[in-house]
Amino acid sequence: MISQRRHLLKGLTAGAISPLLTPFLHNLRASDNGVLPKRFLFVVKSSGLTPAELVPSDLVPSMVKPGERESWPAELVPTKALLDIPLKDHQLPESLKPLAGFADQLTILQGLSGKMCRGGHSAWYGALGCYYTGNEGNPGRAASATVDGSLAAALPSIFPHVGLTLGGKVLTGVKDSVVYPGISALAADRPLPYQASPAMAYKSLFGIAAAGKGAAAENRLQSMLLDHMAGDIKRVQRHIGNADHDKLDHYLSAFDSLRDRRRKLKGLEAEIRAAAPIVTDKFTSEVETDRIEAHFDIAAAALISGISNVVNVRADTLEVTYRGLGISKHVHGLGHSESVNGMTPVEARRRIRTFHLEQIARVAAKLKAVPEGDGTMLDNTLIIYLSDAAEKHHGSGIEWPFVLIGGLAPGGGNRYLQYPAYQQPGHHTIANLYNTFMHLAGHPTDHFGRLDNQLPATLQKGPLSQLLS
Amino acid sequence: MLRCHIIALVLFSFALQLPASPVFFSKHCTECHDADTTKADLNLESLNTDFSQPATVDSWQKVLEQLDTRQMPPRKKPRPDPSAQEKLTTWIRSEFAKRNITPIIDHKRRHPDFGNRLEHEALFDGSHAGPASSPPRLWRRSPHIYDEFVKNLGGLRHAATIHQPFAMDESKGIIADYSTQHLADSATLQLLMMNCQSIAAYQTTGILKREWDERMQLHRQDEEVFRDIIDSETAPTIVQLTAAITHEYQLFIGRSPTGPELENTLKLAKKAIESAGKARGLQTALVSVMLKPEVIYRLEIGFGKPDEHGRRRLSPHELAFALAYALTDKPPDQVTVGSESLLFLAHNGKLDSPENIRRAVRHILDANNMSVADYRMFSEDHKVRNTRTLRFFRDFFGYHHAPRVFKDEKRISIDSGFDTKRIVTDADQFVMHIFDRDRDVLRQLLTSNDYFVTYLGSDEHFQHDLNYIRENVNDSGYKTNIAYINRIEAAGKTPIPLEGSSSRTYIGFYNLDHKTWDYPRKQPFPLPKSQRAGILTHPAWLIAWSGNFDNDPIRRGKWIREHLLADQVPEIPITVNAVISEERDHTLRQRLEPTRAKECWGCHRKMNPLGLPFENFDDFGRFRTTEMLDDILTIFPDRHRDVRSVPVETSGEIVDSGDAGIDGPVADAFQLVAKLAGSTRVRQSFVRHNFRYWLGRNETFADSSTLIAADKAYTNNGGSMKALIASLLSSDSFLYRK
Repeated sequence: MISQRRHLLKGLTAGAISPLLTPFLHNLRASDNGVLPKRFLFVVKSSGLTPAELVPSDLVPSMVKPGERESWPAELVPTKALLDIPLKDHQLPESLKPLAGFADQLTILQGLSGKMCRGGHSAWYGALGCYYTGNEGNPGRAASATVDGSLAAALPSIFPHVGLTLGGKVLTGVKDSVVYPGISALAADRPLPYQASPAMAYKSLFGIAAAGKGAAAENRLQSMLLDHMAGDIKRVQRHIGNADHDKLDHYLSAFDSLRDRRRKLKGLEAEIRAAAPIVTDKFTSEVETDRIEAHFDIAAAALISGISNVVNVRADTLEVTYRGLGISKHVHGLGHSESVNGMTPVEARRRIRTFHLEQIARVAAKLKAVPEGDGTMLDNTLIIYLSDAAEKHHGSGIEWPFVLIGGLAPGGGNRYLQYPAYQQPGHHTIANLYNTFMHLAGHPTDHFGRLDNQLPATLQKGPLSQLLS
Repeated sequence: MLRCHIIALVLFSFALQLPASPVFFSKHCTECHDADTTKADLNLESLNTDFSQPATVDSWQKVLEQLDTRQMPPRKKPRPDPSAQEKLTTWIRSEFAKRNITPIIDHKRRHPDFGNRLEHEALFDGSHAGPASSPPRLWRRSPHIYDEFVKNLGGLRHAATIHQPFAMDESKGIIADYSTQHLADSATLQLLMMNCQSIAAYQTTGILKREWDERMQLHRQDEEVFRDIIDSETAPTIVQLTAAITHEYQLFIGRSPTGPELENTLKLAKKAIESAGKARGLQTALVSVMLKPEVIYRLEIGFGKPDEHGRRRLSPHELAFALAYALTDKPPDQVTVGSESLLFLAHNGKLDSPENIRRAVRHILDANNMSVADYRMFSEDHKVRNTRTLRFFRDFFGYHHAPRVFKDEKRISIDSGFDTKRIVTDADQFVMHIFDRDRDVLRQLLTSNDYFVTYLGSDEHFQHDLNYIRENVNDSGYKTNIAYINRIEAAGKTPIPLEGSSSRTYIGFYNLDHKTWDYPRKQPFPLPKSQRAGILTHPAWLIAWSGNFDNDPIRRGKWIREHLLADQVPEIPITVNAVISEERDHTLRQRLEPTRAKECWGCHRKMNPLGLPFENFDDFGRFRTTEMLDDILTIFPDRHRDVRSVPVETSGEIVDSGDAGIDGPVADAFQLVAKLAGSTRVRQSFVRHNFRYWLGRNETFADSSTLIAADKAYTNNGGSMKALIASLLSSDSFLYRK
């Protein structure tokens, strides 16, 4: 892959490089200079990620206490000091076993809080943006960029942010189009779209490179068309004045970004074709697990081909019923502790989580198979598994667990980190984690989103040092 | 002297900074929001004007929201002086504007679920005189309009995959098609461009496709204006290109291009043809027309003349489109009033007055009555008459979500398929029949026991389908079907015109026995009054608002609270893990007992007593008198023969409805819906929801006169929903932009 890129660069004379191509080429050049690309894959499940389920099995007796009521999930025992445990000395919890082959690059992160966000079924944009917004049925306003949006801006690529989802909002069903799940934003009032259909995602990401013969003429036509449209929209803008101007602005910038994208894609067809996933029946299947698998195939291909550095897979919504896993009740019902098909809700949720982590393991394996620099692509990637409802079905944000896979964070890997509980000295929030991501991306920030007013501002500042060294 | 001036100036500036808010607060707010009480975590005594502090901004945001929606002061307290209130909100807004802070309320009020936040009484008490208008807006076309357009292109769908570029929120019970909610960005554009390429190819060169029998077939629209260019040996002339471009403008936008538009598109066409040849060049020019903002968005800017209030009326062209897309999915040149199209009427001054508009609206609604109802219309929805009205009912009631509520296979059998889709059709026919009759519509919707079950629309269709079953010897169930028909007819009854015994079993939803039922050839027909009353007792609604295994009294109650009582229920607090106990040795009502805890009941009292009367029905929508314990219900009575059961308890209560006349206990669902059907509050809530649907936005206090007029139109015309719609679509709120 790298050698292909080098070849590509050699073939380009300085005069041929369009200014719009510069960020992308800068990326490629940097990789030649020893600075390798950085990639982030977010996997956001609904209905909470249960902290007790992430504790190494042999440590459960000491670190986990029973749930408040019988069928309720067990709970993590809060700590007053940082727990830093090498994973290799312990047994992975049941649902993390698919990641056994990646223990060196696996970090289980517990004890962070996100009380600046809305609790309940979803914190919406807040989960990745650190602020309060929305209500039960509605994402509300994207008040500022979410971390995947910030990373997309910091790590430019042809498709700066690829969003893949099973459905729209947290409480709606499967759709076959572009949807706005309300969890990612590029900036204030700039929600990021997600593809709900794997088949359509394939077309939009990889189809563009499949022009074949006559591609040059087609590109010329497209450029003419896009130029013409930009002019046309501006004329309409002048005609209608200030009314709903943001809608036309969006439409205009859509043409701009398409034009930009086409320019950047010029000459990269072979590379993209090589990495494009094989389209199977799963891409059009009605079965949720099939569609999720297809989305993970797309996610891996988007990262490997280099067309994107930031991918977010919205792994499910509350209305998804995992029929493919033999679970005939939707995620919402399971979250409300309803048992199903002879399984307790905890068992059913475990099965779903295992499925997600199997998918993540597949992506990790694919990235690991591609050499990059002195290592593999996985070394320069961070996969982040979390829930937009924090720690449980109706999350409170008092703890917000994460599973991290990949070598991008120098301090990560083979580590179980549990931060001191909420309001204890040494406690940190998800904002610290997102600062860490920005540091890793080479665009360090010290503050992310809004502060939690119940916590000292100082501890919410800066990255998590444990992950950086 | 100078010093005095300076001091006076400072004092004056300070007074300007805080326009009477301390007085206003102490008069209306600090009784609950002072340092001691800090209700809702808000202390207005210590509120300062340091807008650099996020916490201060948050507090002012809360104040602005409460005042703008008139939620505060509470209903029972004295109302503030309107001018003092306006002064304060204007000041908050100007301070926000100085610091580039967006008032959160402005964002919230764009969302459908914000609708009920405005104080109901203030909307209907006549205290707000308007003048009403909508903001100038761009309204993204709906997925339905797009579908309709593609269907009109004929065989295109057989030749190419056309993607739906315009997704819409399909949440249950939400009126989602708001102009503020949808926009077209790069993701939408990419889908659109794929479609446009296919359309342009289909219109010009045609699309070659391998058919099921391996034959290659050319699918081509074959319009003369394009054929003349494509099939000619010579380069296209300006006249030819002009004709092609004008044709495309008419097709997609319903007008001819302006001079500069034509000039620019010709320029593009010529350049593109030079670069890539005739076919691709022409196609590129056509695509440029298809991607114009006017094709994506309905422009409702208000190009008419301004009036004395600074409002601009929609131009005739805008009005024609606004009306056409309010009532149908078709453009105005395809919507007729008598022998003329809406577009023609608008351009010829025949929609100038509200009276004329009302007449046209009534005409269109009447002409699309379902008097020749055919259930197949519902499966091929382009044939449904008054489609937009039907969609209102679906959005409002949410009954069409029934098939999406997953019921375990073990409960419904794998083979039968348990056709929940057909009950949606039955419910569609139920609501549209009431709409067609147009008398006392809301009351009928809430109380009628005249139902449709598998109705084919006419005797002719009935005969046709029954004959088909009789003659379809190739069907694997042929013998069973014939035996069934013969047996029923021998008993002097009419068979159900459905093929396959498993399809027929679905009528069990209505407590009908498919083995013995005498199918009524004329429908609607009455089901027992003791078992059905209106849409809320229809199996489609009941299933749509049920869980995977049980009824869902909380959400049913919430639906009534929000949709019929124009009220709101606060969100579930984040500290609550709401779980319904799985102890099936108790009734569902008993399992909901934990919600009576003090900290829960404040909200649950608004929902549970409205939802529990529907315990008259099981979660398949079947009427019942007993509730089964210990086991999970299935549709197979044999499996539950020895199961313990108890009589159902159906009592409930209407509390704090805002209509004292209906507050009080109810014995069952039938009493509940009868009370609701007679309530002014419920009727007004229905009017409010209609406003949202037909106007595509939430109502404001400035729309008060529009709401009052619509309500009057409804009542003065004997409960006519058509009059209600005509009133809304001829109102200032609909016609003016500011």
